[in-house]
Amino acid sequence: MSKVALGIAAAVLGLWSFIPVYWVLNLGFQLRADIFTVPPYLAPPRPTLDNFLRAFGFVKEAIAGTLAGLGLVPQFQAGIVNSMIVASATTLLTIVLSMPAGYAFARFSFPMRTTIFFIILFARSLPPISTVIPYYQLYSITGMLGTHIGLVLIHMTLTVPLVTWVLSGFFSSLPVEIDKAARIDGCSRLQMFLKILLPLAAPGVAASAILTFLTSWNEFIFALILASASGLWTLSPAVAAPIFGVGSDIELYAAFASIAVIPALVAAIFLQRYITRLRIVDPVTYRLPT
Amino acid sequence: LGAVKDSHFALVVTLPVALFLLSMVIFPLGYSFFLSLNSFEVRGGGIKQRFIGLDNYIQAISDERVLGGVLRTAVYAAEAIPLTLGIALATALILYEAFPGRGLLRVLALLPWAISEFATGIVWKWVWIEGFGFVNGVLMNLRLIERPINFITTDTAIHLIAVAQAWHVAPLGAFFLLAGLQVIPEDLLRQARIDGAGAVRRFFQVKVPFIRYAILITLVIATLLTMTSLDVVMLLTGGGPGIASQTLTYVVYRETFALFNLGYGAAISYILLGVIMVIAIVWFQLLVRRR
Repeated sequence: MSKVALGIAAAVLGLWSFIPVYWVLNLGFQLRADIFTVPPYLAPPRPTLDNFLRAFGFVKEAIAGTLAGLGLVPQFQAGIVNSMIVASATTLLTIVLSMPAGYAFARFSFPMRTTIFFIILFARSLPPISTVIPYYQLYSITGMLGTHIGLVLIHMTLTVPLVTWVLSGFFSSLPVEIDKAARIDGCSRLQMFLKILLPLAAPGVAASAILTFLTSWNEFIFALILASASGLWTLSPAVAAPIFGVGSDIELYAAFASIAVIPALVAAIFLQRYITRLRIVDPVTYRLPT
Repeated sequence: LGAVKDSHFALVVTLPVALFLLSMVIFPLGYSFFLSLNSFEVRGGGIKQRFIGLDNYIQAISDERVLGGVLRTAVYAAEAIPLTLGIALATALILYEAFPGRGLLRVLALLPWAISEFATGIVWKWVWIEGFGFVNGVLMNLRLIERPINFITTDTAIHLIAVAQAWHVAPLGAFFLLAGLQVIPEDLLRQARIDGAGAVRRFFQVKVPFIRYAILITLVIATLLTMTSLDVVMLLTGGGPGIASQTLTYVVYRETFALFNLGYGAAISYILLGVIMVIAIVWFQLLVRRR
């Protein structure tokens, strides 16, 4: 590729990826009076933090006729707390379950390995829309609607298969000789795993943890339907619900949406370094694709 | 622990995980199959349930709304999947080259994937929307148009969803492809260049063999995510205008949560699941036949 062509291609890629996000930020930093001008401003003419201050409740006054006065802000704030709790718990439990499992798939042959691996992967391929009603019924019977643990368990059906798959790929990219040498030196399996493999696998585990947190934080349908009341929503439904029918409070929604994508931005910064190292293991042979 | 046999250790750490997932999957599958054999009528504040056998399925295969949903899902998937692969390939090939600012571009390129599906729906709605939308903003500021245009119409809605979905899914494929490209030995590419192979020939003859598996993975992921996606439709168009962008997942959503036809919704979701499984099996056959 010539340098000019490469430069143009890179610029197009950057704009294509960032512009939709930029536009939400642009709206989030504008005053109400500026948003509804024709033509719209391509950058905030009078940049303001007002909408973000209102989103976090530092500015309490509701503008007449907008939804901010109707309990949207508390719902949004509760959403942040709920999302933090659910995403952290999901991350912790997923890593605890998936790390040993991923290691076992990468290193050992054992009875029913293929069957077990496929059961784990299969769980991930169901469309949420066809499982959400049964979960709803189950949770209303058992009193788990709107509970954190209920949502965590369901998010784990999304994250455990993915992370087990990713980590088994990661562990199989570490040379087997490391295990052997450690065992010969008299390490127990646990010592070997904690002292030698884990530090080597740390980037993969960190990336998996970020991936898990993000998946849980971003999940929408289950979080929307399995919270019995809007006060129990995580951030996704709290941000998305008012936008179903775009109301008049665009600048506040834009601030909500901007805040909701912050973890995505952080994750993109960290993950881009590791993601090419997260080799996806071939589900047929467990070997790394070449 | 050191005395435990490897295979025992492996079973202890994998089998419970599989059993947990299996129970979390089998219950909803079984229960929604049960639902699909019943009819539900909202009557006097309560819901009346009645066993009707396979009637829901029989009704579904001749229901215009369902067939329309299947057709729109097919159109949308036929656009979104190749578009996803195209964007992913372009992204990977650009990021493979060395240039100043590549680190920043890698972050920007990954961002659409890191953003949630529902937020993808929101940001793309605001790209196209009349009034304060991005495209209208640019066109009006350049004085190319006088008045804002409504881009989300009956004719365009389903295609706009395909574009938004491809924007969201492509980066994941791009990074799988990039991982594949990075294992190509430098010498191989250098030799090809010395032999006078142009960029196109180098791509097909040197690069593609190394990323075949990543291409397949990208297609699998794009298929699964595209066909099961609901958030983007809900947030970008709400299935509209009218019914113009009601994909099969949206039809299920509407039957279940707007019309409370739990049994009928479950039956349609089983049809959707069947279609997805057939495609998954085809992809899987391709994976296996590779050897």
